[in-house]
Parts: sequence; structure tokens; C-alpha cells
Amino acid sequence: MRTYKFENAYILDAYTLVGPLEHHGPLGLYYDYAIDDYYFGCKTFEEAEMKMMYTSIAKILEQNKIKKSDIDLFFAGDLNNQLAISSFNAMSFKFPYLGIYNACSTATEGLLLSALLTDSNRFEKIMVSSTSHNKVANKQFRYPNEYGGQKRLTQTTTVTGAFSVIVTNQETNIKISSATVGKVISYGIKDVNDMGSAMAPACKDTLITHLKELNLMPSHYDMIITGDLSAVGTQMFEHLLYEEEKVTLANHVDTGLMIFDVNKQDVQSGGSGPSCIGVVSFSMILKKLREAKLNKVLLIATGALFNPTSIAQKREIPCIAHAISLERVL
Amino acid sequence: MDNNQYEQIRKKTIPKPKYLWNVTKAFFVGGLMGVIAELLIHFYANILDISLNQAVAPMIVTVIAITCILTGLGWFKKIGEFSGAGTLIPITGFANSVCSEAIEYRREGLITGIGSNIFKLAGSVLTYGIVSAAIFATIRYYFF
Repeated sequence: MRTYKFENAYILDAYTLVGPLEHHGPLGLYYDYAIDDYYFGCKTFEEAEMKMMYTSIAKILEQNKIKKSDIDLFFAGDLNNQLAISSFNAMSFKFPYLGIYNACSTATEGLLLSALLTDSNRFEKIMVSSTSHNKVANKQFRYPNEYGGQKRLTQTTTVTGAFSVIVTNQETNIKISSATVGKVISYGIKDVNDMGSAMAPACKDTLITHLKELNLMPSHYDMIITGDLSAVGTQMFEHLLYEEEKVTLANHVDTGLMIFDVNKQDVQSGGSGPSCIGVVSFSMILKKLREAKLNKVLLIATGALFNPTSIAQKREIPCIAHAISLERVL
Repeated sequence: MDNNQYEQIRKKTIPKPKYLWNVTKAFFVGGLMGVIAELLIHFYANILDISLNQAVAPMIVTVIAITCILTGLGWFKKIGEFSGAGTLIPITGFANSVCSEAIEYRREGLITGIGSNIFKLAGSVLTYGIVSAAIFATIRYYFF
């Protein structure tokens, strides 16, 4: 069994912050805060990303009148080398800190771990944060930002955004009801410009495991939300589900396609990054859960666990997906 | 489903680039660059009173300078996205790759930042350019 049910894991509140491209995207009005400059008043993009995460944490504390010392644990992850962004923020806030990395599935990984810990009633409030910055990711994983080459159509655009969520064992109206830990899976895809196809098998595996272990039908959820498979990945995911499991999903959406207008914005195949599923889920989806427009949703965040060296050495891309389900209670 | 089957399905699924449109854009932008370069050569040959061969050097410097300025202004990536090989293959592509790396690593210092990263993309052009130049120069010297 790798699916867990929780009794004492609730979402206290969330704060989302996005960059200019996301702000002008279809969900622009749902986010708590948007920056109109990739530098965010800082000297470097890395510093801007740190400030983004800092802002999201500071605002969520302020909004809920919670003191820094009330946070029992801080799970954070980002795409920067050795989690620099998260660690600098952990230093600023002086939280007890556990840095986590599962690429773009860091968001659900953090929530899953928090839910496991609050469920034991040993922890009262756990902060989960994650961030990604388009320009920082481009520098690290792709070409320089000012490089004038043509982009591949299968390539995704890293979302600029940050989100913070407080998970608590005290009852609120949004519950984390269950979670499934993913396995690392690869179908031999080596094309780093097509991470959607690489991640689709891991996503399928986690979804099917989740449904089987809890003995559920896909229609149990109002929405099955995958995180950053994007256009190509979504097609591959749906194809795999049909070919291997004879399942078709009527309630599947992908945040990589929701966050941008793929036809109008210059984003190639869609959005990606740890903050992609985070900023969508904890803005629009959370709002709809609170307003009772949705009751049960499943979030599956997928991550491509490669590094630039493994790609240069022509290794395949190992991928993972973690799922958590959110439920409206009360 | 094994890896090969998956790869086959992927190949069918991924969107195909518009090759013809891309080639056409590259052809015309590349051609336009050639015309501009030719005009510059004649311009320099006239005002500096030098031969057309000698005027090639100031033309190249001008093109590189313009590319670097456009890169710095953030315009070149848009031009490059449109024209593809039309601006990538001429000296503009080389100048842009060097300049964009310099901008990217400026904050990491002059030595460890710009100095060691500036030829990250263009380095292989230099390496193999120099190696092949040495080989062909040797062949030419001894045999022709």
C-alpha cells in the first residue's frame, strides 16, 4: 500500500503569487498577488524568486495572524541548484526546515508529508512552500534568457510563481483526505524538450494505484487535476490510460494548460514547474472548493527528475507523480 | 506497453513544426541579412576608401555590434524566434549566443561569471572552427 487516508490534515489557508505572463493568462483574477516585473525590484532573478517565496510566506502569516514561532515545520522546494531559494527563506524565517525536491511534484510531496505528520497530531501547523521562476529555470535547464533560437513545440514554459500553504491538524472546511506516494517510472524518453510524454506514465501509475487502493471510480472526484503534463503530455496520458487500463477520464484537467492560453500566449506546449499546480490549485480550485462549487478533487503533480548532466550524458528521464485529494467538509 | 511502442505513439502525437513556413522565413531573413551586409561592405569601401575585401571586416564588426545591442535590449530573442536559422547561422547567431551568456552571468562576477561562461554555447564553434582551420591550412600548405 502506498495510499494513506488522513483524519487530521486540513488546509488552513493558502497564498499564491504569480508573474506577468500568468497574470495575463486565463486565471489572472484568481491569484492573491501578481508581479509585473521578473526582477521584482531585485538585482537578479534568483533574488526575485527568493523574494517571491518570502512574500507568499509573509503574507500568509500576516493574513492568518500567525506568529513565525507557531509554525512547527517548513517543507519547501524549488528548481534552483541545491534548493537555494527555499533554504534562504528558511534562514530568513527561522522555521524548523526540511528541504524537499521532486522537481515539479514538490508541491504535492510537501502536502503529502505535512498531512502524514499532522495526522499523527504531533504537529499543529506545517508550512509548505514552493516556487519556480521562468528566467531562473531557463538559465539552469535551457538556454540563456536572451538567446535567440526557435523553441520546440513540445517544450513547456516554466511558470513564474510561488505559493504557500499551511496544513494543520485543526479542523477547517478543506480536508486533505488521502494521498498516494509515487514510484519513479520511465518509459525510456530522453527528449528533455518533451517532459510531458516522459511524465505521463508516472502520472498514470499514481492515478491507477490511488483509485485501486481506495477502491474508487474516477468519477468519485469532481476533478482530477494533473500538474504540468501540458498539451503533449495530456494526450499521452489519456492515450496510456485508455491503452493500458481501458479508462477514459471525463473530469481530467491539466494545470499546465489552465494557467496559460496555449493558443494565444507564446508558451509552446503549456506551463510547468513546481508552482504550476500549486498556484492553480490554491487559487481557483481552493476558491471553488470553499464556495462549494467543487467537493472532491484529486491533485496529481508530476515531476521529471533529471539534471542537466544526466541529460548531457544521454540518460533517460526518471519521472514521478504524487497525488493528494482535497475534500470540502462541514 | 513497452518503450518502443510508447516512443512510436509519442512520435505520432507530438505536433509537427511548420517546416515549409520556417524554411521560407529563414530564407528571406537570411537573404535580407546578406543584402544588408553587402550594402555595408560597399558603404565602408566608399567612405573609408578601401577595397571590397578589406571592407568585410568593418561590416562584420557592425553586424556583431547591432546584434549585441539588440540582444541587450531584449529584442533579438523575438527576432530569433521568428527567423530561426535565418539569424542563427550568420555571425548574428554567434554574437547573440556570446552576448546572451554574458548578460546571463554578469551578476556572478567578471572572472567566474562572464569570463568562464561566455563561450558556453559558442565554445564548440570556436573549438571545432580552430581545429578544422588548422587541419585545412596544413593540407593547403603542403599539397597546393
